[in-house]
Amino acid sequence: MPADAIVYARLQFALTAVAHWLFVALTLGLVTYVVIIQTMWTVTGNPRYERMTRFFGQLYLINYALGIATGIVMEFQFGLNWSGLTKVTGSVFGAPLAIETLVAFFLESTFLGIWIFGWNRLGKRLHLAMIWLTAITAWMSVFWVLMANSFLQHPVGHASAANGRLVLADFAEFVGNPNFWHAIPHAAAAAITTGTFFVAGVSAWHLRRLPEGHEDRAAFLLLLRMAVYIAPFFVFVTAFMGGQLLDVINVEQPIKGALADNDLALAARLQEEMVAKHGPGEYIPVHEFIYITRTVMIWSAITLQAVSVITALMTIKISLLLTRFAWLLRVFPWLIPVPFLAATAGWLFREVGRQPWAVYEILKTEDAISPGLTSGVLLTSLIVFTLVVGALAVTDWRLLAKFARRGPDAAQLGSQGQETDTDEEEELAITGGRL
Amino acid sequence: MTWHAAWLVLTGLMFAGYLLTEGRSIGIGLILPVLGRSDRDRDAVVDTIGPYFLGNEVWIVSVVGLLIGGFPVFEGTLLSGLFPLFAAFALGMVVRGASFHFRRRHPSPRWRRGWAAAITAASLVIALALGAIAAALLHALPLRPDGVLPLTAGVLFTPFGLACALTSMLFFALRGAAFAATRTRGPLAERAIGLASLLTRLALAGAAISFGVGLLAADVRASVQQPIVVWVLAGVVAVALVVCDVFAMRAAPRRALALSGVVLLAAAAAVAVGRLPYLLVSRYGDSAGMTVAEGSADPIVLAPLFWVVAVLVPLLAALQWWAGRLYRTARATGARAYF
Repeated sequence: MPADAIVYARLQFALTAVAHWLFVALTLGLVTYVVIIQTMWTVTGNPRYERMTRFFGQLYLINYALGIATGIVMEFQFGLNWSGLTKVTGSVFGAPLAIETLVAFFLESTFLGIWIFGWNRLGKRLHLAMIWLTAITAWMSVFWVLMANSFLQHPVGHASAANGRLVLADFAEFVGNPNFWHAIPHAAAAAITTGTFFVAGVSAWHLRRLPEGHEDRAAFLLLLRMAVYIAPFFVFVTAFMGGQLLDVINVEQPIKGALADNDLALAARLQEEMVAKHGPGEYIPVHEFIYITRTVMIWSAITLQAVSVITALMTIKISLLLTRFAWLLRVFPWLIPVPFLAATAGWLFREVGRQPWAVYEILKTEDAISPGLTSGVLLTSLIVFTLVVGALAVTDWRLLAKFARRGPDAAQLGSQGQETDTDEEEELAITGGRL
Repeated sequence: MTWHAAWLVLTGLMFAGYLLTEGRSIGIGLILPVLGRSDRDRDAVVDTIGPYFLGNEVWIVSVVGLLIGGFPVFEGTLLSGLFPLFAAFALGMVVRGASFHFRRRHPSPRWRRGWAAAITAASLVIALALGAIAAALLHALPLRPDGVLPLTAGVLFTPFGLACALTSMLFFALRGAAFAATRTRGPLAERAIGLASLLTRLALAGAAISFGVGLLAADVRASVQQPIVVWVLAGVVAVALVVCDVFAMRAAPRRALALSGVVLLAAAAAVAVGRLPYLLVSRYGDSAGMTVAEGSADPIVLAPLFWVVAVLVPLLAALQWWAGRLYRTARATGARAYF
């Protein structure tokens, strides 16, 4: 496989995976809040919470659109670009992916469809059950996909078959992969953190602008307080489990661990060991990636933790937050991107740090690429997919920002009555016809 | 029955479910500009598929998931060997999905018409790609004995491929028109059923031409291992189209819809069953071809995974059926459509 072909294939996968996680993290985090808010609505019957459900529910939906889109690109990319991987590991790696598509994603999208179109048609409790089921199955997706990825990081539970392919030999060992059980809490807490700071940022933004006595103020204030109390716990868990995962990595992928500690001498010694075991080659991934991404994660955690703890203390006496320390509300919208930045760094750390291996110490990345492809095809694919998905992603974020700013009044989800011409005129007047 | 065969049947059933459900989504996307002349009509046409859109989409994700889990060698060889066709298909899925979500998010007529056009364009790409993929499968492919299927323009872009792509478009458009006829009322429904009738005739012509072109191509003939099956199923497609036209002309849209499903299933079955025991036929001889057994995962994995899937699939289908009933029986409570 020519060197540039490898670069194109890897770059496309990196962009796809990062793009997918950007939308998936918010899907997971935000659906959790929609579940909480809709449960509050169903239990109390308070119409304020209905407005919040429809508002944050629509934001969740807008984001979900690109979650699916990037997910489809991911799924097809295995067969398109990486048939070398599926040929060698299909009888192990394929199983969790198959389960994810059937058990998690199929159910998730079906329940979600019922939740959207069953609004005001289903009984309130059945409607609530639908979002609960959507959320549960969404979390099941992450479980299975991360398990598949963990196998690539630290292959266990497999055996070699006669034709050089791997087969699943010990399901318990496969599922019990220590890499997985340390990675999943880290990723899960990170996703909840993403949703938390999104809710906090949007709520704070509206709190600053809504006049006294506006019907949504109380609800936004409640959500902000909820978010700032929840945030420190999950930021802590993310950071703590990150540390635990690093301990596991130091055992399972020592070169990655050495680079994370900036211990180049150790990395060089491990490189020698790799050459002795696997033959000549470059076994040290690009050092800067590992070190920089780790730094980004740590500083993100510090920033998020600091702001949420300070704000949590402020909200003990609410009037303080809204008057003397109102400037704190300005900070929150700016924090929305931070968990995304940290998560991107995290995935780069994980995946780049595994190089040159696709399956650690079993299959090299360059051997995992589809053998029948040329550099030209891979480059074209990279450019076309990046442009199309990129354009759609930017549109999706702009829509997200637009609806977040407009607030619950603009929520179309679950609204009654056919859309009238006056609604359209109103919208046009407010938005000036532009996005 | 071996595990390979059991998995093949399971995947086939899943793919059948895909054609029946998603066939409606693809179809509605295709006929949207024809049936939806005004903004209001366009909204009405999209609203027929709206509640089903997400549920329909998942079937292909699951089919590919089953291929990855059950037939990973086949999946990798097929997708990379027919790279442009599958890449186009994936792009079509991506653009169509986003367009559905985006269309109603802004009141500007230009915005809405733009994303509606994107829905149609993407649906077209999807339908054409599926037809082209079917045609490529009906080839003695340059599948080497070492298992590599290199990208070959001569296989991907042929007259047969073009004919099948266009016929596929007509088959899906027919399903969309019939579906629209069952879910709309008044003049719109009349136009829909009229469109369906026209499409049956175009589809019949398309199918006949495709069959003829295929019959004349040595590569295509060489790929068929079960010629009787192919002839019989081709006959079923033709008869189904004729009967569908009869129902359409008699303003019986539900029966026309059912027949449109038969058309799709028979065509797909011809492609799949007609080449058994091969998943991929090779022009380099019988031993270079990929049989079902050779393309599948190790039976050690197939066995337990089979039971998981076999239990789930009927449940999933039942869940979607219940949801479908929910959308039909609950009279419009004036809830505003989201898509």
